Amino acid sequence: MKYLIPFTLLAAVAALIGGCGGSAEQPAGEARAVTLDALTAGPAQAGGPVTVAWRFTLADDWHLYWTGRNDSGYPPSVALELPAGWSAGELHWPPPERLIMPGDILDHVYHHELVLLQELAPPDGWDPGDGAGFPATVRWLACREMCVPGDTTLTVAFPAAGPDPESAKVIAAARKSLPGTLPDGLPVWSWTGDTLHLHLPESKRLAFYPDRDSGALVDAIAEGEAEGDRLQLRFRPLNGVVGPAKGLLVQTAADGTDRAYHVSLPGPASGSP
Amino acid sequence: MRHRNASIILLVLLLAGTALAGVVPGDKAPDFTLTDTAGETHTLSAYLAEGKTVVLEWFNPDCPFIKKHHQDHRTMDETAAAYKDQGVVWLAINSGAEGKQGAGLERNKKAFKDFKMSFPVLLDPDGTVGRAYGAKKTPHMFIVTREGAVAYMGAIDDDAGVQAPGKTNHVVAALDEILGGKPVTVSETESYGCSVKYAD
Repeated sequence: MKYLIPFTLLAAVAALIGGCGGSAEQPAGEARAVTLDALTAGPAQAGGPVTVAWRFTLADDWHLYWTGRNDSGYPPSVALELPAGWSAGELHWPPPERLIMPGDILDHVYHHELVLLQELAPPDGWDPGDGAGFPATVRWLACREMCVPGDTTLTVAFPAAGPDPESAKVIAAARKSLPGTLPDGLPVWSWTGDTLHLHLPESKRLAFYPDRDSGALVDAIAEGEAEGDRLQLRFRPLNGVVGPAKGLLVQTAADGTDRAYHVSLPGPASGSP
Repeated sequence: MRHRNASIILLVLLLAGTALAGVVPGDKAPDFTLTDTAGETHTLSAYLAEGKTVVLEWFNPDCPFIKKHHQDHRTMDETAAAYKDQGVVWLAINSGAEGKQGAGLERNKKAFKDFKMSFPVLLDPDGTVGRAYGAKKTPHMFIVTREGAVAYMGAIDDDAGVQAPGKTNHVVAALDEILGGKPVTVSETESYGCSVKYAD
C-alpha cells in the first residue's frame, strides 16, 4: 500500500554563518537566505525505496548552484549517516537556469526553490511501522552580491504515520521536472574538427549545460544556447583532449515549455556516429 | 583623412577591449602594471626579465574560499614561502570593482595585515587584468613561466569545499615540473571559489 511518511526533524535552518565579510556587511532584514526541510514518500510497494525530497527555499535574489559546471560557487551536498542495512542513491537535480555575471562569468543556478530527490533503500524486511532515524549533514553555498556558506545537521526520523498530501505533491512535481533521456538517434550529432553540431527537431530553442566532467567549451556564453533546433558548440583541448559533451540539452518546444535531457556524446577522436 | 584614420583606430581599440578575453595554457601571459596596497607598483614583464616564475592568485578577502586558504589554513603563504628561494614570485590580485564585496584599498590593506600575508595584494578595480586573464573565481590561480607563457591555470588544490585544503596542491605540482624543466602534466583544472566581483 502506498503511503507517506512525514519527517519530524529540525528544519528551517538559517544560512548565514557570516563567512562573507561579517555581520556588518549583511543588509538589514536579510536574516535567512535559505531554509531547508526534508519531505518523504514511499515505499510504493513492500520492500521498495523511500524517497527523500530535500527542499531548499531561497529568499529573493539569492541562488544555489547546480551540480554541473559553473564558473563560481559549489552545489549543495548531503551526507547521510545511515543505519545498518540502508543504502542511499545519488541526488537527482532539476534543470537549472543560466546566470551570466560581469566578467563573462557563467553559472547554472536555482532561484526561489530547489528540490533534490534521493532514494533510500531500506534493509530487507524493514517495516515502516518500525520507524527509523539517522543524522544528515547538508551543506550549500548561497549567493547574491556576496556568497554565504550554510550547513546544518538534522535528524531524519521515520515515524509511522498516515498520508501526507503536501509531501506527495512536492515530490511528484519534483519528479516531473527531472531531466529525461532522448530516444535513440536523438539528438542528431556530428563533429567537424573541434565543433560539435547538435540537432533536435521541433525545438524553438536549444541550450547545453555542461557537466563537470564535460569537455571545455570555447565560448559557453555565446554558443551555449541558440534559437532554433540546432546548436554548434566549439570545444577546446583540456589537458590535450577535446570533448566529450556531457550534460543537459535543454529544449524549448514550440509551445514555449522547457524540457531537459541528459546527453553524453564522445569527443571527435571517437568519430561521428 | 587623419581624423578618419584616428577614428578607425579608436574603434578597433574599443572593440578589442570588449572582445572575449582570457588565456589558456600555452598562451603568452598578458603583461600588466598594478599597484599594491602599500602603493608599490608591480609589472609582470619586469619580474620575467629578472628570470622569475610568477604565480597569480585572484583574491577577495571576504570570500569564504579565500578565508579557507589565508585565515583558517595557510595554504597560499606556505606554498609561496616554499618556492620563494627558487625564484617564484607570488602576487595576489583583486579585480573587484569599487563598492563590491571585498574590494577597495582599505579593505585589502586590512586583509593583508589580518591574514599576515607575505606577498602583496594588487588592486585591479576596473577589472582589466582580471578580464585579460579570464579570471572568474577567487581563488583562481595562474602560473607564468620565466619565458612569459601561461603554464597552469585553475584551482589551488583538489578540495572545492570551504572547510579544508585538498590533498593535492595543483600549484605545487605544476611548479615542481616547471622548475624541474619538465612539461606540466596537468596544465588546467577547474577552479573553485566565489565569482570575481567585476564592475557591472
